[in-house]
Amino acid sequence: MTVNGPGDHPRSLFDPPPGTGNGPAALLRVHGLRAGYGPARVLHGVDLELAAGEMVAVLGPNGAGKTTMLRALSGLVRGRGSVLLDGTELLGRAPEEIVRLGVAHVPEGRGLFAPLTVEENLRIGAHLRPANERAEDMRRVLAWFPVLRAHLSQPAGTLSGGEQQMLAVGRALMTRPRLLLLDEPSRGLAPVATRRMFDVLRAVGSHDRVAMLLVEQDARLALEFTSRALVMESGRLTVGGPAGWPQAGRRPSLFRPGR
Amino acid sequence: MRHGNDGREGTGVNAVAQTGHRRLAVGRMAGDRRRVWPWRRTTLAALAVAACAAPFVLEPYRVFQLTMVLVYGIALLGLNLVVGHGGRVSLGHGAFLAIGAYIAAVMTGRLGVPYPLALPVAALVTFGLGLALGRPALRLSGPYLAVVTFVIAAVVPPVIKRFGTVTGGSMGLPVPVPSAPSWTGLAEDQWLYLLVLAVAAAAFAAARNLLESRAGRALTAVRENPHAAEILGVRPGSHRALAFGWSAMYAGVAGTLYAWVVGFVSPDSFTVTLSIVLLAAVVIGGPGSLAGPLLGAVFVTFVPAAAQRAGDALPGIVSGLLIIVVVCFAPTGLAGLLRMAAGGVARRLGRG
Repeated sequence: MTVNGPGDHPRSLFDPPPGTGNGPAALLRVHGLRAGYGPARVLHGVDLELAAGEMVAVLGPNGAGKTTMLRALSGLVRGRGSVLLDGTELLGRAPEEIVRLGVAHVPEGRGLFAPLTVEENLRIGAHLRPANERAEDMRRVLAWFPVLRAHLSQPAGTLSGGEQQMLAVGRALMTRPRLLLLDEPSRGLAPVATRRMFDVLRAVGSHDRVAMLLVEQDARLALEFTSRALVMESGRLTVGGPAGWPQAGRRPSLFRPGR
Repeated sequence: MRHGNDGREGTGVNAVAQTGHRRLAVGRMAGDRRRVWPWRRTTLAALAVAACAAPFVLEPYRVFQLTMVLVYGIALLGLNLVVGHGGRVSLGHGAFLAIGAYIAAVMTGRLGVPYPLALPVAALVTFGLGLALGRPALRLSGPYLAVVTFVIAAVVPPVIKRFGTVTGGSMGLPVPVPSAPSWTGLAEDQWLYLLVLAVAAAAFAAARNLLESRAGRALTAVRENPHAAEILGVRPGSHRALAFGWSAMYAGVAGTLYAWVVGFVSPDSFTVTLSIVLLAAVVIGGPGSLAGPLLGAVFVTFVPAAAQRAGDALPGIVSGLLIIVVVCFAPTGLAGLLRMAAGGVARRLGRG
């Protein structure tokens, strides 16, 4: 496996988990994040730091709380603890305000608006953007995903899976995020399509300095493209290390059968 | 078809041909707005001419029926904003119709205000009421929302009866019928028809603009996937409430027109049954389409009347059966069927 993430430099497994030592440069600081649905607690204190433009994978078994963490970060689920984006507390804010502050979320299952056209889907991404910048944003996103240009006036529900995923990511980019939360972008995609998608994501991340938090089931792929990976287990981020660490001989817990 | 060449035809842009996406059959999906009819403008122009010529060609009773179609069409257009575009059920729109009608009746009948003034007042009042009720009500969905809106519809007629000194109670209230200005030389029914036609045209244009606007897109997005819309910065609650306000306004305007056309309002004209018929008409016409409300209005005006001629007990049975048939076999309603037919004709003629 080739490791070629932009922030990838030789690092031993015994280094302190990256992010904790990033100092004031961190874009996102999550401390003691707890969240759940009603009486069911899912997250039991998540700590995480993310630098601007950094791409980090979150791995873990089903039901570990990966999706809940993303939902808490984007305000869909109420959380407690502290989530600072560039020093601004996100917890307790409405999803709309969090979008304004620069957090975009590509939800599980893409969340496209099937009967609306590709163009309309993108325009909804620009819902909060000033009118005079929307055309420029649209050009930018279509430059990242040229395939979408050919389908602009077609209902989103008629696109292929790969195109739908590109549309979901493109739509999120229309909000001009500083932090992009991606919930299993590879699900249901052919390996080639996934790879193409990740290539674009990496380019976007380094070009526009968009930090990305990537929830993935495909550990191999995630480790290949991200600078480091965290493992979520039972509502906590338990292991952190530079990408590529599964090769160091230790089998991480996520490869064990689920609970 | 103008959009969406698929790979098999080999006519698309390279990227299109490579991806080989599925092409959705026309008329199968609610809210699909692809162009299927190449002679759109010509058809619309012909319809407009026919609509303007109708009162001078048809006998007065037919003109009255067409006027009622337009009145219901406006109400359904509004209800469709909530049901078709907002994805929420309302069993209460008869109440807003009643409020609009009584505003017209009280203002022109009791207070002697010139009749055109009733229209903006009714629009404003019902818009405000719809917004105020929609905000809390549309936090609910499914059966809960159905019950709450049903209560709105059930409460208004008794309230009207209770305040008999203003509203005339269960006896009802006559409404002076707007008469044509003498220079036009029009009969009363012709004038009313043209008046309602003008309002209906404006209502359709406004609804069209609304749906094409940022707010309309947001509303559809909220219907399709509220969470996905929310994390893009769309507030589901406010867009639904706004849709409810708009739809109440359409119902209020339709109510005012109803009072003018019928010349009489009574609480028994606005029972819960009316609300249910309106909802059924939206479903039959085609939720989420612009032509749907008009087709639904045609259905509720003409089908029961035609069945009545065949037999006294038939209207209920025939409408009921037709509703079931439409819901089962054409979930996109009459508008969807029309689109399918138009698409078929256009393809057959080789213009697709």
